[in-house]
Amino acid sequence: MNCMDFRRMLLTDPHSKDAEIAAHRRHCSECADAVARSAHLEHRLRTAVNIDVPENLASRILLKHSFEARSRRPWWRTRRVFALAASVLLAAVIAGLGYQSHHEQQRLGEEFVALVNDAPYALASTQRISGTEISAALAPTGLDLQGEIGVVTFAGRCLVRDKLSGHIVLKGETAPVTVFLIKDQLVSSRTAIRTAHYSGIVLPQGSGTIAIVSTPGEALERVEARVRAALRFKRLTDA
Amino acid sequence: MQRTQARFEKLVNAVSSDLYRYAFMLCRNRAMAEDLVQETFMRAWRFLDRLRDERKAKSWLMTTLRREFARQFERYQPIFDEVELEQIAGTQGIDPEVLALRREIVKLPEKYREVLVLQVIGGYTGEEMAAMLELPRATVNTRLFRARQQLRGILGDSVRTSVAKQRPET
Repeated sequence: MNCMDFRRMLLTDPHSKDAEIAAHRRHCSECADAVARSAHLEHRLRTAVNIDVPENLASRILLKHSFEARSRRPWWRTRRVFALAASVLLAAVIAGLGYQSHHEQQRLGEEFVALVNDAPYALASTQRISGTEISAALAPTGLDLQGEIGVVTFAGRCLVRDKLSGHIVLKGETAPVTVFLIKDQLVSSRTAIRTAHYSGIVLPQGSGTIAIVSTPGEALERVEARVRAALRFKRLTDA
Repeated sequence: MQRTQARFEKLVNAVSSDLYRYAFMLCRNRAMAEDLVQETFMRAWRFLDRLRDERKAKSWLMTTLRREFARQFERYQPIFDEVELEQIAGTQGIDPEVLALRREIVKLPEKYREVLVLQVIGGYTGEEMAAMLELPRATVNTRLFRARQQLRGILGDSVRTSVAKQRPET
């Protein structure tokens, strides 16, 4: 092994146990500096990635696991029965009354609820986010929020029906309120979202769509008014 | 069932910290990192019976976490904020050079950051990582090389100074 190969290896696999590498490490005085530099970098790297872990992480994992394990079977059984009943009822309604658009809007509502459930970390944030950060998060979506809409604790993006959309979480009175902002119009009229654990609204706004989801009982009308007033559509070239 | 539960607990206690560190370095968001670890272990529980070799548990969990991150990131792109780094408990009082290095690690392109962190936290060889990431070994080595090269450039001066101090005078 020559020195160039050895030094390259220090940057790819510095802890290699290969006999040829070990021999070069021991005997080549030309590479002593490189070995020392590598050891220093590896020590620093190990310290840098050794970030503190949240207190009681393992306990929380085991606690969540115990809850899920306990509830899993009855939950599935119950869900299957309800899902079957709901499917039959829904099929009858659609077949009998031709409520295709209603069904579609209901499905859209369920999709928003699924998006909320898929991002628990967004609900867990508690620190207020500035207007600048919100604008930065929304910029690639071609949307912006200008003006006071309340205490925003999360701002990000997500895909709603393959459209890059804004995802905002506001501090509500009793629970977080999630707002999705979509540049395209997904509904033609205001639609309510109602599931076992969530309620919300989906409404057209200009050429776009606003969806607001929270737990039942949260006053969504105030959030709706503020978001409608603050929502701006931008040309993507401005973003 | 009790044996499986005991095995699961042992796994959580042994690996959750490293998994969290790996998750944080991937997503750079504390809340999402914890969520990824939780979800990884929930998946692990469902497939624990398939895991015959205990020695492979950590790499299996890290691969699962990486896939879960890719799945979530496809739909959600959390904002990376340097404030996250500053707020990690224990960051205060840390060597400024290490903090600077941590900042640069999280700024590395994802493909470089991923292999580097995996190697530093998991201690994997290039061959092991190639299998985990389903990449050719040469690609893994190139990414590791470029990642360290970039970081070495950042620490260049301080590393040289430190090495000079360590070297005995002749």
